Parts: sequence; structure tokens; C-alpha cells
Amino acid sequence: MDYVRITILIAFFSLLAGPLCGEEPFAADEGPSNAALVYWQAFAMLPELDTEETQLLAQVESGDKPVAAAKAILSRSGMANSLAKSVTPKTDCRWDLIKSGPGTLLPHLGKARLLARLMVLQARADAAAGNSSAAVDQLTAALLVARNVDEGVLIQMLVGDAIESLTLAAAEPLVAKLDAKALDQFADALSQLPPRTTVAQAIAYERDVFGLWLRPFLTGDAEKARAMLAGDDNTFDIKGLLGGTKAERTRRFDEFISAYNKMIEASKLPPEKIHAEFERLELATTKSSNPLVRLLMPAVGRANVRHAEVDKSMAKFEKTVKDAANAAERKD
Amino acid sequence: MNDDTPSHNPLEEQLSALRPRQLSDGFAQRLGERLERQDGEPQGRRPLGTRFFLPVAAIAVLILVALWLVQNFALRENPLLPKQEIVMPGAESHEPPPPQTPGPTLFAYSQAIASGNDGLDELLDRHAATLLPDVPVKESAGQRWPSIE
Repeated sequence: MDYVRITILIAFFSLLAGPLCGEEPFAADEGPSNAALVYWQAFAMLPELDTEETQLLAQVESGDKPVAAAKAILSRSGMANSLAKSVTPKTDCRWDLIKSGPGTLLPHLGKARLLARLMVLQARADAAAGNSSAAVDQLTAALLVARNVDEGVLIQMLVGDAIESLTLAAAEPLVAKLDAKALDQFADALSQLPPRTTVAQAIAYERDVFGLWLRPFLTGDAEKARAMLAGDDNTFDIKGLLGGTKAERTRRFDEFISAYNKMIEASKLPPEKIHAEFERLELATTKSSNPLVRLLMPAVGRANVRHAEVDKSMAKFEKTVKDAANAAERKD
Repeated sequence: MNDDTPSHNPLEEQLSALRPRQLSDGFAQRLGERLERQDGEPQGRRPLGTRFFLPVAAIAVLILVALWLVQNFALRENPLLPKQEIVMPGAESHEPPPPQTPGPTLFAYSQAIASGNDGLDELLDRHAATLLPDVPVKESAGQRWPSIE
């Protein structure tokens, strides 16, 4: 019987040995699971631009100076650029904001904007050097930064819009110079980008960020709320915000949320009506007797107009690239 | 004085008759004892402690006094002397100090949006810097959040 057991054990381990011997010693790298962490590494490697260099960057972007004038800036941006380009459209991007109402920190926005500007600068340099494929890579990576920044609140949407506008300004003149392969590459990359946030989504997100933070102050114990907000009197006009009975405070809060909901509804109107409706709502916001609405409601009308313009420009550009790719394919 | 030659001067004769007082026996003995005590000890030398520590202590006291005088008088501004201002080159700027940059908070950006596109771009440019402005933190009831002041 012992011999039988030993034989079974030997056979069992022999079966295991085969697959184990063929296995890789290290697991394959699956890549980053959160693009925001890769971007933060890129932000950490951003060069510090002085006033002169910031002005130079703006001058190159406006066409007042050639891209060659910014060579020194480009040489210091390589690592940040390389890190950002390692993000793929399939990688999830979660900035994981700590939602603290109006005090919610968004330190990534300024840095994302600078990173994207430097990426577009590199694209201009690649295009000037005749390296179209590299320029296309840079431009699509910059558009991906825009889509990944455009995650939640209105300001994120606006920074995303600004990055897309900047990228389109560099990309549009390039299309005519691209060969069939580069056009295909561009069209394919554009189709894989994550979708843009809508104004309705951004306003709803902002309503929730402010609303969740404000509710306990306004509908709960006023004295506790005053103690927690102590020191914010200049900004919040505490007396106006927390004054009155609980019923009055609750009404004030409900009006605030209702104002946001009206803006969400306005954003779904047909294009010919949306602009006028937002203007009307924005005017009502500035004249509101509710201190919450006056202080905290953003300039949504302006944000909506800007976002709609970029929507149009982006759609037009995607069509231009697709048509050019198809035309180039037919020629071949 | 010890001259034995006879003198015709009466004063001299008187003086030569005078003899020194004889020392007592006890005096010689006392002198001998004193001389024995001083044997083995060089005459005129003080003890080791006195020879070494006294001068060192004296120098230390002098140093302390000197330091006190320097600290309390030499380093103070002499009201009788005219003040000398050293002006660094370029320090004559009369530009007002830059306004404090608000932190990268949702409220700051909302206000910047309301003020117009240029305000927002400028704020984002400042926040692109490596070191961001400090955002004071408020803490209450176990919760912490950034202040929006």
C-alpha cells in the first residue's frame, strides 16, 4: 500500500512539473490602472517656466514666433511628455477629488493645461521637422489629456475645452500635409478618444459637490454650522447664509439646488434656444436674493457657449480628417 | 666707626664709645627655627593652586567682562552716529506687491470664470508652478477640508 501512495504522489507532482517549468518567472506588466497617477508623474517632471518663457510659449502658440525659438523649453519637457504619452485611451482616469464643497482642491488643472501646451509645442516642432507621424502622436496624446481632465465639475470641462482648442489650432494646418498613412493613424486615434463631458453632466456633478457639502450646514443645527464655518465670514457672508429659522435655511438650500436643476434643463434645449435661456438664467443668478445662488452659481452661460463652440470645432475636425483619409485611400 | 685711631673731636669720642645692643639668646634661636622651616621651599614661590588658577581666573573674568561690554555697547546702534542704509540695486521699485494668489479650489476657479477668461487663464498659469500657494485647512468634528478664504 505504501508503494501505491508513493507512486500516486510521484505521478501527481510529475503532472505539475510540466506546466510549472514552462511558466514565466515574472508576471507580465499590465500597465497602469489609473491614468491620473501617470499624469501626476508627468506633472512632477514639468519644467518650471519663468515669465519670459511663459510669454514665449504664448507667442509661439499665436504664431508670432517660430517654434524653433522655444527649443530650450522643449529640451526640458521631454520626460513629462514621454510619461503623458504612455497613457492609452483604454486606461481609466480617476482624479479622486476630495469633495469639500467650494473648497474642493483641483491642483491638477493648471498643471494639465501646461503639460498639454508643451505637448502641442512638441507636435509643432515635429511637424516643422517633417515628422508627421510623431506630430500626430503628440496631438492625439494632448487631446487625450483634454478628455481625461474633463471629468466632473464645470471648471474641469472648461480646461478640457481650452486644451482641445489649443490642439486643434495646431492640428488643422497639419492635415493638408499628412500622407494617407498618417491620416489613417489620425482618424483611428480620434475615434478611440473618450467622449466629451456634456454641460448637463458637469452642472449636475457640481450641484452634487456643493449640495452634499451644504446640506448639513443649512438643514442641520445652525450653531454647529457656524462653529464649523468660523473664519469664512468674508467669503460666505455667514449671517446671510445661516440666518433665519431652520425652515428658512432649508428653503434657501432647496432654491439653490433648484437653480442648478433649471440650468441642467436649459442645457438640453435645442441649440437655437439654449444660448438665450442660459443668458436669462445667468442674469437671474446675479440678481438673486439667495446668497447661495449669488456666491456659488458659476457663470454657466459662458461655459455653455464655449463648450458648444469646441463641440462644433472638434466634430468638424474629425470629419475633415476622415474625409481626407478616405480621399487619400481612393487616390491610392 | 670701627676705627681705633684716637680722635680729638669730643663728639667723635662720644660716638665711638657707643656700642650696638646685644641680641638676646632667644633671638638667635628663633632665627634658626625660621630658617629651618623655610628649607626645601624655594623662597618667594607661591602654592600651585595660586600660581595656576589665579591667573586663569583673572583672564576668564576679563574675557567675560569684555564680552558683556561688546554685547551691550559695541553692537548697539550708537544714537550719535548717523544711520547708514545700504540700498541694493533694483530695490527702488515702487510697484505694489503682487496680490495673493488664491489656492486651486473649486470656489477660486468659479470666481475666476465669473470674472472672464483672462482671469481664469492667469490663475491656471500661476497654478502650473511647482509650488502651489498654501491652502489653509479647517478642522472640525473630526473632518478636515480646505478653507475657501
